[in-house]
Amino acid sequence: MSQNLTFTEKLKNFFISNAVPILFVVITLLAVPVSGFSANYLIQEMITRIGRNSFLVLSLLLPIIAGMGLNFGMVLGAMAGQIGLIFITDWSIVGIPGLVLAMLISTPISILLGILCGSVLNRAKGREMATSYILGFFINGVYQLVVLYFMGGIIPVKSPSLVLSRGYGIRNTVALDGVRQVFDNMIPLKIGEISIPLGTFFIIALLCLFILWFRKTKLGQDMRAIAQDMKVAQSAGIPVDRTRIISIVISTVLAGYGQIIFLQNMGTLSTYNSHDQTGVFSIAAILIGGATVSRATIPNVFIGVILFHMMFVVSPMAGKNLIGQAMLGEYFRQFISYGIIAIALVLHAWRRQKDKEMERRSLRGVKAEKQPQAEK
Amino acid sequence: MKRTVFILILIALLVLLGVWMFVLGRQRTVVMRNEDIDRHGITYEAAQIVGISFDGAAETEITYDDAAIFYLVGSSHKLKLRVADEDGNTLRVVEKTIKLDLSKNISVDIPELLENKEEVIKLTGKMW
Repeated sequence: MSQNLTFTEKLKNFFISNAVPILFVVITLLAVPVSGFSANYLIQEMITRIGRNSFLVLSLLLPIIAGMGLNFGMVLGAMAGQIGLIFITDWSIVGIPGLVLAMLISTPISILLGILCGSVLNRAKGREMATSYILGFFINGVYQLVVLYFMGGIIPVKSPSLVLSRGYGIRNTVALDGVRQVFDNMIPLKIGEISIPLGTFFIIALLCLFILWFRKTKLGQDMRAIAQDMKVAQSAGIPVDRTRIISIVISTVLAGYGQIIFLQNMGTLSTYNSHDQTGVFSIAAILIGGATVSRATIPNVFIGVILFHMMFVVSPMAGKNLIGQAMLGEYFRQFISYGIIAIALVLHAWRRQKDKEMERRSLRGVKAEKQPQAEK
Repeated sequence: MKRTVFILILIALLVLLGVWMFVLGRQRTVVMRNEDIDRHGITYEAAQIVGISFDGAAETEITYDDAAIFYLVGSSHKLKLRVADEDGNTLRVVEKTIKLDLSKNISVDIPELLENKEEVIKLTGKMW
């Protein structure tokens, strides 16, 4: 079909398909010189942020492959990861063993939450994104109940640096001194003034390989078939509901690991807030990278993380230099992260409509071509 | 049945990995006290200055009636104690291997440790 398109139509299609990343490239190109940051600083920031956020964003890929859209329920995994980190801090487990143990603790919690989320989403087919977003709020309430009331009381947490002075509940901020940047410094590498978190990159590369391999497995193919057409997949004997639950479980488990990688880089856990923005920021990043609700690839993740975080870094300073108020830049980046999700969803709906129109037009064209032949 | 056995083995392996990580990564807070103590009717007198070094790391010097905190990961450590007089002249150097259990907080009385003739000393403290 694309062979019949003229150059102008192809160009138009390219801009329509990549509207969001192009928009962000333009905004970034305008904001970078205004911010006045040096190239070295920006490169260092981008490398750090790729290491910090990519794993989280990659965890969104499987539900998209399975046609479940953007998994706002990834915050469930993030909460599980945080619970793992609270326990290892209480037990004073440091270094790589500490992070591995945190991941091991988060895994069963993530699996249970993933099964719950998947089961709920199976009852809300076609409305997965809104449902998972609200589910995130619900589980956040349960998380707060557990962390604020059960930990230190029913659940043994003894460390005075963790437990509130009243004897139960976890403090607002937990210092992750024992595991701070442990993965980042696992394989130290410095090129000039720029330090590269090679250890974290290695873990991210492993996840990318896993995703590439997974897409080729029977389960991966089943997910793609379900994304194409759920009814046809069901008729072909694919267990649709089970496969969808598996995709959410894997995504939730990976989100838990991603949150641990994120927080080891930050070095501080904000007990009641760290997971709040995880979903929104990761989804905004993948959408900025050119992904849609129904199609996402690994390059989308990295392009998105770079563009989104470049905006994050430069916008406050650009705002300050332009208007004289850094706060405006701060508001701007909040506006950007939520706004871009809205834009991406609107563009997705518009593109789907356009695709349908084109499909209809091309079918009409085929019919028109066929008709004279039939008359002959 | 086969699947259930596989899952159970996997869970057991993950639990074992978790226990291994716990043992491997456990950080102990060791408080080294240099103060006079009475133990079983015997009085151990503290030195004027003691230099403490674990595993060849930089020495930490503490004076009489003072204490220092060390954070140690792993169960076996080489401890070097340098005893000095008021002017800082080294009187003797004692080297020992210490074995720590999984206790989180361990308190050590240096005067008693200096009098201990054993080469390898097992230390224990509070688990949490």
